[in-house]
Amino acid sequence: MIIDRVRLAGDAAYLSDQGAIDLATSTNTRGQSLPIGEGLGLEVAGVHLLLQAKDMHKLYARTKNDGKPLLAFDMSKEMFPEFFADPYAHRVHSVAGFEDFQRGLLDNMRAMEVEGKATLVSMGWGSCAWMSPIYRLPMPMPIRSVVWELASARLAPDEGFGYVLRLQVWSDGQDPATDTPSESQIAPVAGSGLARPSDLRHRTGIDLKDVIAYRVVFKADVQRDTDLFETQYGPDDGQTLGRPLLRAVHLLEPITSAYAFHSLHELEIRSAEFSFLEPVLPLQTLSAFVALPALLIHREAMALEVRPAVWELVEARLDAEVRVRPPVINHLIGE
Amino acid sequence: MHSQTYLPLRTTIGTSAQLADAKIIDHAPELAGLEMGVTTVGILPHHYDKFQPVGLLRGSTGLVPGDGVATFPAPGEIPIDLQRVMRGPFDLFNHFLRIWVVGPKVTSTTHAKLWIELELTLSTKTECPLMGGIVYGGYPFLPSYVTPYGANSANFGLPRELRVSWDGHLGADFLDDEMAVVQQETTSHSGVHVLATGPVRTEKIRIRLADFPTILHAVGRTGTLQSYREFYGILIPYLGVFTYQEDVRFAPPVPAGLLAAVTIPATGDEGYLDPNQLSNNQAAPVAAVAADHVYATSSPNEYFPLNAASMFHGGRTFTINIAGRQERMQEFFISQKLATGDQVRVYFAQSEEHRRCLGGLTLTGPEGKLVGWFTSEKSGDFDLAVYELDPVEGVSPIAPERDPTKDKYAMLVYRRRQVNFDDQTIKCTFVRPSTARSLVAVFTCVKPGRLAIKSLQLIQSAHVHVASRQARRQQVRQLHFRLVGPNLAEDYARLGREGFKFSIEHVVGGEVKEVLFEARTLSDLLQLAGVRLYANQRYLETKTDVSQEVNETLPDSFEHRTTQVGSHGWRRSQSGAGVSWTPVDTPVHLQRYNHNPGIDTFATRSNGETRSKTEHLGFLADATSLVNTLNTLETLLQLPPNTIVNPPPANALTLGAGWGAAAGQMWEGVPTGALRNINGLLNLSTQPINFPTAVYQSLINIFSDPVGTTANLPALIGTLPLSTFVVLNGVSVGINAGGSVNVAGLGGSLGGSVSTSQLLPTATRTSATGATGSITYQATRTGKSYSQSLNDGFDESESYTDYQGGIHKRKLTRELLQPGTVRERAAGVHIQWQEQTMDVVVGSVPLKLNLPALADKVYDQRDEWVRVRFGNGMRDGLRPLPTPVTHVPVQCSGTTDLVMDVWFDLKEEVVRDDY
Repeated sequence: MIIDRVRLAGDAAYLSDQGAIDLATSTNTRGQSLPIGEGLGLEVAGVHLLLQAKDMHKLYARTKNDGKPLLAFDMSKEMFPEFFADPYAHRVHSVAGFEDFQRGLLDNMRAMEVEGKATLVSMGWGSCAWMSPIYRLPMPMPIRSVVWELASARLAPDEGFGYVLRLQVWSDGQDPATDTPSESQIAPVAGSGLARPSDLRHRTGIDLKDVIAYRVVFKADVQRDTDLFETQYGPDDGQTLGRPLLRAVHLLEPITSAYAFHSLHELEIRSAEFSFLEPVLPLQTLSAFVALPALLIHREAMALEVRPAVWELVEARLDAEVRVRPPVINHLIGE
Repeated sequence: MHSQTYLPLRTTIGTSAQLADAKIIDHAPELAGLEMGVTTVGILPHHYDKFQPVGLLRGSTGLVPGDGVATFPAPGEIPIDLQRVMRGPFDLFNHFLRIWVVGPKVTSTTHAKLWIELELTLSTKTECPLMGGIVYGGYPFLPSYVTPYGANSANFGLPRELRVSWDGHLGADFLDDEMAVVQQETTSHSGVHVLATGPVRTEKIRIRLADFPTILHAVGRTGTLQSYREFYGILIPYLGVFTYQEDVRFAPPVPAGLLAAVTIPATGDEGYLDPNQLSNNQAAPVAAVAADHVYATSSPNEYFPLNAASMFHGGRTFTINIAGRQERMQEFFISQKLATGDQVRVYFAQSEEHRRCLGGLTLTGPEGKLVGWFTSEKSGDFDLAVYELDPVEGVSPIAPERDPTKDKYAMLVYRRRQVNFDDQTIKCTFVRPSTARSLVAVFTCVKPGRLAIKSLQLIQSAHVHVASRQARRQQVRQLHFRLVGPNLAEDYARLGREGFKFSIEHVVGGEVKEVLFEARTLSDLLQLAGVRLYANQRYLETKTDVSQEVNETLPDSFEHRTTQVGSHGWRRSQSGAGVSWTPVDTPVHLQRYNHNPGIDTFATRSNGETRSKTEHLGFLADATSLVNTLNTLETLLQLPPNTIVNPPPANALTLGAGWGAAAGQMWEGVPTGALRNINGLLNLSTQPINFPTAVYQSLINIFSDPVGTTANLPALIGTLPLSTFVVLNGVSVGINAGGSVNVAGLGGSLGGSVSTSQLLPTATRTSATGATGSITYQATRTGKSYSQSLNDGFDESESYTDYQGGIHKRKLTRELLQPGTVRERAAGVHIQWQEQTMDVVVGSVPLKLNLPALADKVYDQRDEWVRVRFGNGMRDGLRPLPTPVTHVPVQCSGTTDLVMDVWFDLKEEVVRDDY
């Protein structure tokens, strides 16, 4: 079965606020793409903006504004499984790969390549642990969320293993060489037991501020092995392999989105098309196209936040194609 | 995404390697004192009986294994599949091992602590083997159940972790060399396992078997409940090492093995265990029970399982005692009793080293009456659905909570409604080819009865496909192919002799959207960029050469040789009147020689000078001493020197004129100084008696000192034989000595006389000493002479020539291909493939095709393939290929003289959409 792609059209193409597409006058001054159902996809190329104000010339300089953006695009993408955030508003610090794993302290674990990815694999049976080296940051930074990847899917049986993930941080003014870090338990999210394979693999709302260094601690208790085929290098250490466990830990630092425009000048810089209807002052009507490529799928959305009392009219129309997944027919053959 | 290579036709299994030694070198402490062993396959006892449970319950009656239960069905204990996957000679003895461990009770320790390590030494009689990996298999007929975490409890006797490590020949001292491969399986299949290491040159490997499964060994009753006991153990009926050899497999049957066969809902009153009668504790690890019907007899109380694994490997042969009569029955799978809506799920897996493209499967039912014989019931009717399984990481293909009819990681590839399998073979062609490793056949009962299947055989697709999978996104980046055959470059208008062809197609929605490449001829193939042909050069080989040659030796040619000649023979010469011979024709180049000169006049002149020197050697040892003695008399008698003996003056033998010693002259090389002077001939006569020198010395002493020696003379004369001769020959020797005494001193005179009277004949000895010489000048002249002779003779000679070198500058003119020349087309031998002369074509086709994971959230289309179609088929592997021949018999059964291997460069990523 093949379903054609079509261009998004009609009201559905506009970012809307409770049905209103003029975001300057809508209730929340925030327009959002329509909810996307399972099996649907919006292949967004960018957003066409139609903006009206009494005198746009005054909006050109950033310094003439009060610090809030005139227009700000906000994405909600599934950056990691079940973790939705704006990828343009986050910087991701990933601890992963052989270098990171092997420079840490390994207890009853080994870094191996599993399914093409460096993975911490337990040895034998029972408990194992890994503590990363201390990563010093060039400047204090906040950490808002932590996401981690495990080799086993969330469908893997919970009886197989349990684990604990902790984040140790040093704040501005502390010396990682001598001071004791503060520790946050990342997983399990609640309780003092072990996180299980079926648990969510992210933690939000951490809100660590002014972090200048951090260290990750991972501990696991392995009860069952899983499927694995790997080549081993180096002398045989005579140990039985356990199961592949940790693949990566991602720390998400909130940053200012490049799609938050505090002045018309910033908007013009980011726009592929940018033109005023009036050839003379006052400039009142602007048409712009902001390239913002994204594939939005189930539970993902794009939004536009409009600064109130600035605009006379704001319309944001998505330049997008609609993709529809062909129906699943696995279980209906011959029926 | 990580790179992968998908090789749907490739096999690297060569021949079975001979083992020189095998032993268990270490084991977990928990196994101390327990039974374990490794022997060569074929050596008894095989220990299968220790792995069969006793006490299976029918009502309150406990059963023991019947005759034939603890056996392995194939002759020689090796399954047919193993013989099929081995690409070369297959030897049982000293090539395959049987391994078993009867470990501790399940309650005493944990599975993960158990391990043993074996060391295998490969035979190096002929050469150090190039290992390609190991093949092994479990015991397919172990009773089992499925655990909540998706494992087959007995795992067919196989450990869940197996590591093969080796000593690198070159890399032993490198710290990061490739030294081992590890395979972990949550659940293994019952078929032949191939653990491929790639080519490894080694003679010693170590195999670590860890994480033991649980073996059901006793069932009983505790109160009103069933109970069972298990131990940790492994039972590997065969394990061998194979050599690395790349080949192509292209044959319909694809070896497979059972993962598990379970009944939904779980019923066990005719099986090994009844989960409904177990205590909570004992029921906890039992998530699903085996679907096998266990046939029981009451006298004796024996059981005979009708195991689902027999669908893949053939069944055991049971001897069943029925009312005193013994029946030999062949095992085949019969399920427990099923009601409408019940399911039997048969999970199975391909067992070769690479996933094959499957076109379908065949199911063969047993004779219907046999189902009644074992169960007193009939077979039921079933809806059949076959799903390919593509579980995400960490999830077992037999995970009990994953219902394939609803699981998004399962894809339906075949469905058929209301089938009864008795007495028929059902051919199930998949709606699209499958490359899945694991599949499940779901039999849903629509008419109550038993499910009975004799054989389930996976069938390879006639083509090669890459299509979307459920859990993995794929980027198909490149397709590679390799054609090998002895006659591949024979004719550019064909591929091979039999007209092989292939095409690579991009299929969307069942429609060929694009033919990426098609080759029906070698020239088609060579048009593709990146294709390379390695061909043995074809040429006309001359079988019969008829030619004319003119060979001219040019100036400056030379030959340097050393010849050793030996000969013997006889000669006879005739001369004189009447001697004549028949003139012969003088060869042109020898006409300057007159072979019959005829009568002529001539003169002969010659001259010469002869010099000679003769040295005489007397018998006296010291003639000079004697002469000196005599000359002493001269002194005493005051005679002038040389009065008594006057030696002739010395003369010299001088060189003649022109006979100098210079280079090229006659005396060249003769040292002139060595020529003795010629001093004439000195003849000495002496008495015949050989007086000692002392006599003469005494005489001299007498002469020189008569006074001092007077007293001695008589004694001398008296004591010597001289006195005798003096008397005989009248010798008188008188010595008178007188002295005139001067005032000043003693003065004296001495006189002596010797006189003889010849009373006796005189004998003297004469010795001539010296040298004489002569020079003779001679000249002759012959006025006239004529000689005519006939030579007759016989020669037999043998020579040996050692050529030191030479240059023959020749000009050779040859006129070739004269009438009678025979020439035939032949192929060179410089391109070889696995020691056979072959032509090879390799090539690549870039694809850049994205295939979505069908369990993913969004994608455009699911019905998209890359397909490689083989026209006219090909051989099943290189080994059966014929060597180059000039004449191939006509065959109409497909291409027989080439193989084509196809593989894909892929990038894969498992979807994280697993929640």
